[in-house]
Amino acid sequence: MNTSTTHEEYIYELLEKVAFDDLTPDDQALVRAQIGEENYRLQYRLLQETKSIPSQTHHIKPLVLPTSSTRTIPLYQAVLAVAAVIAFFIVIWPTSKTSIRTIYKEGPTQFSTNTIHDTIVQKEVREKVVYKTINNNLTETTTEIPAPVFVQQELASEKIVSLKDDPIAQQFMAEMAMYEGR
Amino acid sequence: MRLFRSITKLSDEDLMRDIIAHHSHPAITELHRRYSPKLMGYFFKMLNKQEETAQDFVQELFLKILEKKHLYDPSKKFYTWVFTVASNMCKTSYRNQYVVSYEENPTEYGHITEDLAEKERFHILFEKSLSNLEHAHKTVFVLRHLEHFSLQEIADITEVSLGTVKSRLFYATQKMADQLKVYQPTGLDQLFKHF
Repeated sequence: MNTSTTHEEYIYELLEKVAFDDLTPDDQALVRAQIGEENYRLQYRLLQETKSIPSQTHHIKPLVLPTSSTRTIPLYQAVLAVAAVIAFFIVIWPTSKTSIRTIYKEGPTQFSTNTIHDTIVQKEVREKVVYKTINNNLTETTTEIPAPVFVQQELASEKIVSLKDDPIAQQFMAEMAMYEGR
Repeated sequence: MRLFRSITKLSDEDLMRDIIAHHSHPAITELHRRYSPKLMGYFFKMLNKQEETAQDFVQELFLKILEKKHLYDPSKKFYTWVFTVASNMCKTSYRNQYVVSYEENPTEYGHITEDLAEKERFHILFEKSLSNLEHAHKTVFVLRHLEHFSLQEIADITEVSLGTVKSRLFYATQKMADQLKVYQPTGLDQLFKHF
């Protein structure tokens, strides 16, 4: 703080309380040097007379408050609320837990049929098994896995049906015989 | 009735706590009852005697308290805080040139010539000098000499240092005295002789 500012503050303190004639000789000298005796007397009287100004009375209107019950939410509270909702969803969102629904689907089946004399040899082979994995109903992956060896062996076993025991085959053979007889 | 009694006994700061917690309309109404006359006087002086504008400012101030209640620190005095808000409202209106300049009322001056006592003459000249002060100087002068705040309270309200408050008061007083000299070239002794 510079000296002139300090003098202003000090002189103002004097102005509020002390008339020029009641100042100490040092203060009188300071006042004369800074603002002059006449100015000091004038300002001192001004401040004294200001005290005589009566306070006016005014008509005060009754306070009118908004009737709506809607309350405004401060911005920081709104931001906090949004952050809390986001944090909640992050916490409950499953990241490692995956529910897998597996659909077993039979692959296309191939049939090969050989006729040996009076016997139809029907071989049924299942080529593959298709697994569909659906994660959280969002992504779907399809994996084709061959059937296990023992299943393949079992499925690949020949199914031998005697023509004599098969009415359809009997009918077929009868028709062939009639055709050849013509 | 019991509720009314309890509200009137609460401190300003407790009423503000109630407003912050419950948006309490009775609490804000009680604060309005306590402070509206003083705030009305302050706005009236700061807004160059525009009574209707001053009334609007008082209304707006209390609505602002409701809206900005979260900005109040209950550990501090409500009294100085509400005048800080009022002072900022005046500053904003001054910047926006909302405050109309003081205009001489021909009727008033017609009376001055012979009919009005010198005391009233001083009051009118005083008002005119006050209205011509810079906003910052006018604020501290009104708060100190017309609203009778302590220097420290003025420093809190205007959010400046104590030294700045004294310095502004020094210059405000000097300018007021200079302007009174202009309005009363024959000397202030004549103006003050009736006091």
